[in-house]
Amino acid sequence: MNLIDLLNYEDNAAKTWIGSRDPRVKLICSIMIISLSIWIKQIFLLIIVFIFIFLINTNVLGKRFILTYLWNMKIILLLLIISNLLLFSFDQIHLLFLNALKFLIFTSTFIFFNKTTSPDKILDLLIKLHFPINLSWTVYTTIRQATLLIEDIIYQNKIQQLRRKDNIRYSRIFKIHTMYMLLTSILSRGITTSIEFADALNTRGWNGPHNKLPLNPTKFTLNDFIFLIITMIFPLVLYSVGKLIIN
Amino acid sequence: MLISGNIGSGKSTLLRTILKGFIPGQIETISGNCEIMGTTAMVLQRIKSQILTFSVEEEISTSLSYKKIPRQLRKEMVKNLVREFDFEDYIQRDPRLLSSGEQQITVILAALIQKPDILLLDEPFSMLDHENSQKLYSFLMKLKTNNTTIVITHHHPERISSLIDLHLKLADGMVTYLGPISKNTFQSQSYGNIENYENSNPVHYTIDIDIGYTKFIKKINLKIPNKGLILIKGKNGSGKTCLLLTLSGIINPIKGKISLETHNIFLPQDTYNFFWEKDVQQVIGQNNIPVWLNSMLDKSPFVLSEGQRKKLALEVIFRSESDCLILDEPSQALDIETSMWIVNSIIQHSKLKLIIISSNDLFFINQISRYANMIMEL
Repeated sequence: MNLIDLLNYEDNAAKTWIGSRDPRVKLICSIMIISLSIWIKQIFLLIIVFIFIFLINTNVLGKRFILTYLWNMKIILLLLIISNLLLFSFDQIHLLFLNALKFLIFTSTFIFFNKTTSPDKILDLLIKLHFPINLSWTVYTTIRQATLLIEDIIYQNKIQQLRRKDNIRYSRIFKIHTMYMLLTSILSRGITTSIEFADALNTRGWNGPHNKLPLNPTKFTLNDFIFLIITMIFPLVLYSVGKLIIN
Repeated sequence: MLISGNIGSGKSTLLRTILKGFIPGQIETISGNCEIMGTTAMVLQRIKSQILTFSVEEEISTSLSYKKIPRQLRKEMVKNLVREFDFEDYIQRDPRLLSSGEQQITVILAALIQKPDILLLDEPFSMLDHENSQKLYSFLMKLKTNNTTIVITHHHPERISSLIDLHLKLADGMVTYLGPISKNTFQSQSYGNIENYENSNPVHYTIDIDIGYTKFIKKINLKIPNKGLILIKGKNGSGKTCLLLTLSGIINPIKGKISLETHNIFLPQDTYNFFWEKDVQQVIGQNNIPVWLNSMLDKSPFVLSEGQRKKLALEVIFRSESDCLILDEPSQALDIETSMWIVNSIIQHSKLKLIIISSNDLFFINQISRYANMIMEL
């Protein structure tokens, strides 16, 4: 699993029941989950939040993808545990699990929003939320170019790895040279890509940021309302469970 | 109007100069004036960087939305255009996840919907399969009868002879006017003398693969020999590049395992990914420098033309000590002379190494298929 697999928008994910919800509802849901994970201090309640986002992601991305993602997180989690052990003492072991869970919830929420909301929808969302037009377009273009760049880096690195196996000279100073090779081709490619992107905008009659009217605008439907209610009920359920445990 | 010429003769540069676009790299002299009478639309050779949105439907209608044309009218116009190209199934897809050929159709449709007076197309057929080339060709014929000026750069004028009224040839920095084109002008051109080596009994395989939005391949079970030539052909979007990427180990199949035991080297369609060196001299080394590279040894590989860069990448690949050469669309954007050199080199190397090629260039496939040990249809 590459970084791009986590960041990239995916058509299939966006077509699922939860994935196709209005971006505003998805944003509220994401903010709510992140806020809960910041405020909650009990491990048991955090596990419930984690299960909630896990179920959402299972619906959107499939069980296989989520389990592969969790398996790939093992090294980062290990580093997190080591850093926690260095910062805190062994008797505060619950903090360790707390931070690990919070980390998993943050990243899972980020993946959920990112993979189901295309930059087009994000632009639409920002405009609907009355963000300044220039800022909205900057966010949109940055997301679009960043995903292209990350995709290119991964692809280029692998193609160049195949080519340089031929060349013993380069393998001796492998790491520095890898960086040099990648940077050289990415920068030159980046310049050309940007020029061609600008040319394409020009030839299609671009005359600055505008209030974009998407061809298929997202409408607030009954399903969006149902999902919003589920999202709103969840913190109340969590609060009641927390109260029960304390009592 | 057709602009032809060998690789690196300046065809793309001329097109961009017409639109007063910025041209990266070194240009020694620019003089003269170009006055454009009417609206223009242009499609550049590299497609990926011209994709502006995340849905084919939105992509095709970008110019209309910039003109603030009402939503319903935009939808209707897109619908009518995609119907002519049998492209309706793709309009809800993310263009970045389509194949190169499908992306090229998308970007060309985005230019066609503008109904420009002057349409500038840089190698518009380079990534298209035969069927899509025919569709585009007949659409351009229709535009021509509707008084649209079409300026095309193309390496193979003989394939689009009926479309051409005016032919300009670029060579050594000079533009030569060749006048109206007759249908038989280029018919005599071929790949010339190819060594008489023919595989009398090539094995044909039809394999069943499943390609999704994310790149994966399944249901493949085949044994690949350790030397010889394997040709993979198929329509746009059939998964040729995906299969080559999997065979070379660049992407992993979701199910099963495909791996070549020998060390391989991969030629991507976009050769920007292939280089990192400061100049051509560093790429090619000190010995046996080909004559065509003599004048550009101090240049960066990134300022070469698409064709020159592809030929340079092929030089590197044919000189490599890898046992397996994987070439994705090697004849794309190349002139007849270079294509002939590729065919000859492939035949020579396939006696000692394993060469796997994917292509939808019908002419190239016809030339090379009789030397293939295995032909796969996707």
